Amino acid sequence: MELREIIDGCINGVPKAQRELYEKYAGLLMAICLRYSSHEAEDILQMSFVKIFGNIHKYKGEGSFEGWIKRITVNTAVTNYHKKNALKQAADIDDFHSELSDAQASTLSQMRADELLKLIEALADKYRVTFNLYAIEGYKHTEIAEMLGITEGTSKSQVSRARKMIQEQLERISQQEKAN
Amino acid sequence: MPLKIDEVFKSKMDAFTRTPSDGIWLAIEKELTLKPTAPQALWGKLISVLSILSLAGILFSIIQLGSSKPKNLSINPKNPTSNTPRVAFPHQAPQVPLAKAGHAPLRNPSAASSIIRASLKGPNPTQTPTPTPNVRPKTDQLPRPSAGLSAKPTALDSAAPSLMNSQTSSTSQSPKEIKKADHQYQMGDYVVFRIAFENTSTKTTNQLQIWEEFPDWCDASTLETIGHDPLHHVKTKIKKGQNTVIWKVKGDFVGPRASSPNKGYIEYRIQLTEAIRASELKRNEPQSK
Repeated sequence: MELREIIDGCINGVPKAQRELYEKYAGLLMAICLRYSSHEAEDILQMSFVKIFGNIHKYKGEGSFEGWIKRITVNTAVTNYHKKNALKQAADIDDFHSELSDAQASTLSQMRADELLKLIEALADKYRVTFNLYAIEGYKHTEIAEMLGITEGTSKSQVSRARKMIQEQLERISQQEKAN
Repeated sequence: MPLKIDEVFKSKMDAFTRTPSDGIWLAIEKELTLKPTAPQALWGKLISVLSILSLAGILFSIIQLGSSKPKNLSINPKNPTSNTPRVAFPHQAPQVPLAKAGHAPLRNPSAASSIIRASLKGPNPTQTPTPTPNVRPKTDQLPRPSAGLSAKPTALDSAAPSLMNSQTSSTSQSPKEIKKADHQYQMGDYVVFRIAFENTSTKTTNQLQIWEEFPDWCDASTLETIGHDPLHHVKTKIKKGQNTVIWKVKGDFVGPRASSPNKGYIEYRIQLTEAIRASELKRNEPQSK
């Protein structure tokens, strides 16, 4: 079935089309959900799909469908984050600009996606969400600030701290590799 | 500006996929069967409006027939003993005598109009909602011990109404079910209620939303979106001295509520008992201070 047929089927509530859409995108969206909350990923995925099916008639075919459903999933993950965390404005802004050392860069390039996911999972919620939105999803700091209800400076600070934490983890891993 | 670390993460994570567990699709499918798609809902509404109108039309015709006086009936001049009533208005006249067609003329038109009123009134507001199918429970609906304070499990809805009193300010669209917990509440516990909301006018549940209207003693996790699940858990963390839990539910209400003074929301006020407030909460105060 072509994507357009699947979408039309979902608009008309055809179960086969809904199933096909799910099969096609569940893996991709699950990976996004895992990046935001590993232990609630399946809940977020479920909520995302219900939203997608409920609003699919609003998709007018402008822009990529994959981009549209990814955005819904990211928004659902962010909403979930809002529910779980009372957002507090971080007053401190310390932009951390540090490039990776050769050893860290080498470790990073050798790591598989699921290993990178573990690095992301190890971050605290607020750092994980801002890092995902900025580095992977490609949102700007102004957009992230609006989505999360924080200042642009806080968003920058949190991404920066997330990078620093990841870098520290990479350093530990590369040290272990050296020792072995 | 994106750094090297960002680029590596983006390139690898973009291509990454993970198959969810098998139960997810079943849970989604169940939610979908509860909630019609937009075109289905539109057709459903149209059909129900048309059927009400046609029913009203039929009943109106029957009333007209029933309220016709004898002077409007024609008697067959060739057979004056024949007492078969016929309707005088040709455009309304059935081609067969009413008695033969199996319909007795209505003697009490007001009875029929009450049927019309009943059918237009819609569902009975006191009707018990249909139980929700057993969909996979969401993680955030499950009890969690509160951090730093009491690590006792969350009280779930089940029994023992003696611990708490509940009251609502709602009239026509009150919650269908507020179950109380069988748990000795302590400071730091979460109170979890299972509440079924149902918009009795539209028979939908997805327009309601838990609305934030909490004093500072409430946990932010109380902010929940009802979404599509008519049975929903809300939870509130009890703090020292707390004696009331209030939830307000905002919704797109239609029907009788539209003219009520507290239009727009229903308030649920849960009163904790004196005993819990005075003894349990105090007794379980953290010792570390």
